[in-house]
Amino acid sequence: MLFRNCVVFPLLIGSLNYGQGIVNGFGLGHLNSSQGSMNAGQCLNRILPAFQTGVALSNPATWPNLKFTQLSLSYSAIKNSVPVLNEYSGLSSGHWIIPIKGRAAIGFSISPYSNQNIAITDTASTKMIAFGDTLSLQRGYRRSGGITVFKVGSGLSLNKKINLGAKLHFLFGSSRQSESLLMNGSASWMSGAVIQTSRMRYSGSFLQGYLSVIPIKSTIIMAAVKFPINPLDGLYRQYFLFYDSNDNGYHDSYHYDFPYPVDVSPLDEVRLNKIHSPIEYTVGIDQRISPGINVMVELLSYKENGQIPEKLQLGINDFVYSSNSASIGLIKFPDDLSVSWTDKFTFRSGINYHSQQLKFSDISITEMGYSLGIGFKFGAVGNQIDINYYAGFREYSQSYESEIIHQFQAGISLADIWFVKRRQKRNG
Amino acid sequence: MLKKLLTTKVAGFFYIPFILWQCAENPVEGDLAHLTQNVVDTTLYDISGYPYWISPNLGSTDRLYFGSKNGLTAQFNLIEMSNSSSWNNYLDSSVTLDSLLFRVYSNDSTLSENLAVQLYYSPDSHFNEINSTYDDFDGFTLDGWQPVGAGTITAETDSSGLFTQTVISWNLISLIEALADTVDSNLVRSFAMTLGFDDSTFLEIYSREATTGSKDPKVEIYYRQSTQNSSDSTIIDTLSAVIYAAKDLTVIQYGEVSIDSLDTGVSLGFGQRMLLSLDFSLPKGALIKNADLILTQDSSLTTSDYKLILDPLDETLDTTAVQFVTDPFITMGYPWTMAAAVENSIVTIGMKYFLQNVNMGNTENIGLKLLPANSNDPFEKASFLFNPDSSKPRLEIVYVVS
Repeated sequence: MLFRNCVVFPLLIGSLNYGQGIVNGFGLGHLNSSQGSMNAGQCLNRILPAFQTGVALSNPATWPNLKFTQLSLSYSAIKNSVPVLNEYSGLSSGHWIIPIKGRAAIGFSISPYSNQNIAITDTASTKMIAFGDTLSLQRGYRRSGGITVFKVGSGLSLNKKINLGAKLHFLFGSSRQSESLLMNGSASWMSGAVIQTSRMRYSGSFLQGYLSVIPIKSTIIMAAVKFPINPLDGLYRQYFLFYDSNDNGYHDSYHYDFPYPVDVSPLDEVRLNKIHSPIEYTVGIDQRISPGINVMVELLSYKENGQIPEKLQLGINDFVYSSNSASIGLIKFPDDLSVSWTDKFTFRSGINYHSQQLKFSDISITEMGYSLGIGFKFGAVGNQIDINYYAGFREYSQSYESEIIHQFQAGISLADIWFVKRRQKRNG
Repeated sequence: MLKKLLTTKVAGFFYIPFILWQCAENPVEGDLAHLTQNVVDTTLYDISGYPYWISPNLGSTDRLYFGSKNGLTAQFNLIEMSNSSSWNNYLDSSVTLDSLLFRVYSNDSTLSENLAVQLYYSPDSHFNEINSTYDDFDGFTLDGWQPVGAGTITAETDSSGLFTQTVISWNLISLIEALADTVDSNLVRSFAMTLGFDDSTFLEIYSREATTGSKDPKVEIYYRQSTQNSSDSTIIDTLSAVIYAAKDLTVIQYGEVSIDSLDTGVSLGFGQRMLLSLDFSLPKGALIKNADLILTQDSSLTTSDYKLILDPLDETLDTTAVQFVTDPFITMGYPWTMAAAVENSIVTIGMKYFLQNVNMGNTENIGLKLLPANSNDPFEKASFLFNPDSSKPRLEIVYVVS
């Protein structure tokens, strides 16, 4: 317990950050829901069951099917070739789901929502003559941080055929933008970088509703719709330009960044309204083709109704305003009645096609990928270890080079009976 | 319980390798032309200069002067020695005074040994180093001062025979009673140096501001002190003490100072200073990367290495007068002062810090005062061109704006 509390959890919380791909530079960054699998036990599915028979971690309408409370953590490591290599890792999701008498369930989860980490250097450098000296300039842009989502959901089984679920998404987080102009030249003052930083704090909330219907015994149809209750707002504060004399990227007194921090008054914070207001529809069908083996098809459509104001400087001046994706999966679930350890494995595989459209440049991004995963149930209550690998190929209709994505996820789910007063053993 | 603990530990160790995964974040290339940050260079010519004159004070200069140059005449220098317990050594019965020398130093190797630099002593205070001007010495004479005589001039060399300094010394032993007077509680040990000179004579002596003591005007006391030890024998120590100048001042005599509003220059000895006015505005939020005020001299009248101080005015003064006893223009001082030296007939004064703060609204630009540094030769004048189109003052600014 001490090991878990003092070592594992702090490290996991501290790892809620992750690196970059080109998509991170668009708008509010790369949405986690668009990147491979969302956790190790879900393969490519968003709402269809992949975690356990009839259960999807991200779909509260399926949670009443859980037999025990689940604490599930999933960790992701991603390698992006963009084409320079970028590697990063971090917590991809954490779920705590409590089923209530097989009729209902309540759950909480935390996961990254968007990844905004990006560092861009300008492909071109410019030159100018300033009072007889040649000044060379190169722009740079760096953004770090992102948005995290905390979700509270509940599911209800209306009858044997219909389950409902709802989930509230509370979005929060912050990002730090840094726009730099690197100077080089013959005069003594022509060196170093002039930087302008800004900060943005995000807040917003969305609601997602789920429906699960079993029209015939071997088929499940699921649908979900997500819409904003309070579209994402940003509190934006721009800081004064400064000359970064010690090249650490921060406006500090050490080595006399100019102007001196003490001379600069912070600018007012500005509220940027409705910078992200998505509507997302998901529909899927899960067909059992033989005992324990299911084929699944899932379609997702996303439309952005928010708008990024010009005031917010983006590394890449564009954002995704619509996307569609389709995935097909084949999953073999374990045999819960078998005592043989070989029957405790889950095998997951799938392919997906993802298409995104950028607003201003009209560039379309297509991504094709496949996923392979394996899970193993152990213990009387059904603890589970999951591993998933996703490889994708992302292509841009123009301007950007293709990316190859490798994602490796590992998850652990600990099951237990919670909130039940255990009977005391009596001695004698 | 044991099973649970084991499960947790397995899970923990399972995660740690991922947490310690070494992430790599390499910048990607992209088109950043849409970013608004930009560099702009601009030159402002709307700069005016207005000369004004004050009664000069030469108490803070690096040198003390004798001679005549450019219409200014320095006939005598005043030095006030600091109070020190060493003055009273003589009163100790165990002390035998060997010599008491007043010394000043010069870096001039050509001083004639026959030059008669006269020294006088007075037990009163005669000047204020900071505030005394030539007006205070109108009608000043050395009547009542006690003459010491002419100094001995010695050129000193190092071990290889190279000139190091010239020392002018006076033996003050005849003044010991007056210098060690303990009755006069207001005793001030003032000395005056004079030099009879002709037009060709011009002599510079280090003032107390020039060095940290080694070449300051000073009094050196050499004495022997005897002490009785326990075995009834006497030990005699040969000792010395140094007393440095506390104040010094060159008194300059003027002819008629010409007041000419077109004479755009500065001079320490003439008390000439200038007010500069520059019209300046940049976009809000701009960051000044470099800002140079460039003043140009007539190449035939250049004063190389002449050091200038530019100090922003703290308050405006509504006056048309150009001649003052003391400088009425109050300036902001440190850290706002800017400094530069003339080089190749041009002086380039960096104004980045001041102008940036003006643009940020931290201070106001109500004018600047241009004045000579105290290390300059007071007999020189640095003049700058303000009228010709080709070399009028200009402010070159490079700024970044977003």
